[in-house]
Amino acid sequence: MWFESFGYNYSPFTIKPLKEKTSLIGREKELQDALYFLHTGSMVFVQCEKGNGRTRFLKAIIDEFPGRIIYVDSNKLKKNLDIEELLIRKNGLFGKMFSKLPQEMILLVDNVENLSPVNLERLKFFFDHNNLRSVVFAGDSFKNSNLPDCINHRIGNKVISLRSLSNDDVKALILERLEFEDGQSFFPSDLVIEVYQKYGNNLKDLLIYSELAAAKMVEEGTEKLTSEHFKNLKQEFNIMKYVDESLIDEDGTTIVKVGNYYRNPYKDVFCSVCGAIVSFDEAVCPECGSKFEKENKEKVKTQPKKKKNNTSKKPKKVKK
Amino acid sequence: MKTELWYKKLGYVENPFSIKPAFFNDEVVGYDAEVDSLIKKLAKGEVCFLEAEFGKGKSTIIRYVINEFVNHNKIIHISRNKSDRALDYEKLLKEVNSGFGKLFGLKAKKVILIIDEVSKINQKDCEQIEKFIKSKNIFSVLFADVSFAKTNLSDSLKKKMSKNLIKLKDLTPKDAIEIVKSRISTEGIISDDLIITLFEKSKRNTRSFLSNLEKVFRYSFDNGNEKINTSDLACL
Repeated sequence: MWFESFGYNYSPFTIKPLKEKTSLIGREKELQDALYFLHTGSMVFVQCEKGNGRTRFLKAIIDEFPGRIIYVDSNKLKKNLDIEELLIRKNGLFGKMFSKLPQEMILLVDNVENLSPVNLERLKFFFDHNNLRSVVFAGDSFKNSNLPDCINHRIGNKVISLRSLSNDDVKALILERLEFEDGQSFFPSDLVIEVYQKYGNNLKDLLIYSELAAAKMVEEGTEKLTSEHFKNLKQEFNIMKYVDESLIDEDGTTIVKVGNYYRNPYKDVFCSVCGAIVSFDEAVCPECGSKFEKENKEKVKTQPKKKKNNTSKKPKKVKK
Repeated sequence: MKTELWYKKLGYVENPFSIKPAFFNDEVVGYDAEVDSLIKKLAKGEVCFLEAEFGKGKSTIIRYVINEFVNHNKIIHISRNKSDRALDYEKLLKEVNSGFGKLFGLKAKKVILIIDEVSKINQKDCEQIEKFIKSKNIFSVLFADVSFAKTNLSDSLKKKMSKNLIKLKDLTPKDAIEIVKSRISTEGIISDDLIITLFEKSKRNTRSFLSNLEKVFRYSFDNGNEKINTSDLACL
C-alpha cells in the first residue's frame, strides 16, 4: 500500500470519524456550546453538510461522556428506533431482567433526516423523565430535518452550525494527520488549500482525492504530491465516495448503500442503479430495468460504478 | 468542561432554568385553579382532557398530578405515540400491579391512566379504555395534547369529558416573575422589568421563556457580569 512506503501503518487520509484520534480542529467554540447544552440537559441540533466533519464532531462529544452515550446512526438502523430498548440494553443484565431504565444518558442521533417523525416523538417522553439527560440530533439542516413539533420546540434556539473549515484549519488538520511540520510534508500546504477549494471546501472530498493522488504518486515513484497527481481522478473518486466509511462493519466488511439496499461490493453482484441483486449473465436489471453494458465489464468487475442519469449500468462482481 | 458553568458560579448544582418537568416536579406557577380542578376531578374518578400549546406546561402539570396521586393510586403514564398500533391496556394494568397481584398476573384496580400525545389514539384504544373503566380497573383518565378537537377519541369518551376540558391560558407577566423567583434568587441579579421584557420577547411561551432566560444568564455571566443588563438581551 502507498502509505507503507511513507512509514504509516494505515492511510493518513482514512475517513473513519468515529475512530479518529487526531484532535478536533476548528470547532472549539461549537464544541464548547454543545458540551454546555449537554451538561445542562437540553435537546440540541448539530447541522452540517455531508463530509464536513459532523460525525467527527459527534466523536468529540462521545469522548467527553464515557459510558453515558447512546450513539445511533439512523443510516444503519435495520428497524425503527426503539429508544426504550436501547436504554434497557444500556443498563446491562440488571436492566434487562427488570426492564429498568437508566437515568441521565446522552443520546446522539446521526443522520436524523432518515428517521420518521413518529420515531422521534417517543424521545420526548424519555427526555422529560430524565432517562435521557440530553439529546443531540445531527443532520444536514435543522430546517429540513422533519422533526416533530414537540421535539422542535424543545430544541428551540439550540442549533449548532458547523461550517466548512477555514483554509488554515484544513492545513493544520492535514499536517497533524501526516505528522509533519509545515514545509516538510510530501503534501505541500499550498496544494492542500488548492485542492480543498477546488472541490468545494469539502473535507471528505479532500481526503478522498488526497488518498487517490498519494497512491498515484507512489505508483509513479515520486515523493512529493503535485497538482498533476490530482488530475483524472474523477471516476475513482466517485467509486470511493460511494463507499461510505461509516458503513464499515466491525469485522472490516465494506457495505455500500445503493438505491434502497446495502451491498458488499466485494461479494455481491448488484445493479449499480437500484442495488438489486442480479446474476452475472443478466443483461437487464429485473428490478429497475437498467441495461448492463458489455464494454464496461472489466471496469465494473473491479469496483462499483457511480449512478449516472439513470442510464444503463452493468452489474459488478468484485473479488478481494 | 474547562470553564465553570454560570449557574455553578451562582451556587446552583443544576441549570435552574431547565425545561424539564422532572427537575422541578413540585412547581406549577400560574395554573393553581386549573390544577386544583383537575385533581378534584381525577379524585372523583372522571375522565379529563388537558389542552395546551407546546411549551405551555402540560408535562409539568402531569408531573404534578402524578406526585399528588402516587401514594394513593397506581398510575400508568404513557405517550400514545409509543406504538403505532393500539396499546395493550390489559398488559399495562398487570404490569403496574404490585405484590401478589403482580405475581398472579392480576390486573391492578383503581388505576389513574395518564395519556400524553393523545392525537394518535384510535378507536381500539378507546374501546379498551372504556372496558376497563367499566370494570373499575381504571379509576380516572387524563388525556393531554395540543388540541382536543383534533383527537380521534370516541364519542362516548368525548361525552364523558365534555365538562372536563381544561385549557391552559397564557401566563401573565406577574406569573413570569414568579417563575423566575421560584427558580433563582433574583435579588440584585435581574429586575422585574427585564423579566417581563424577556417574557414578552418569548411570546409568553413558558418553555421559550426559560430557554431565553438561560441564554441571557449564560451570556451575561460568561462575560464576567454580576447581574443581567438590558444590553445582555442582544444575545437572543
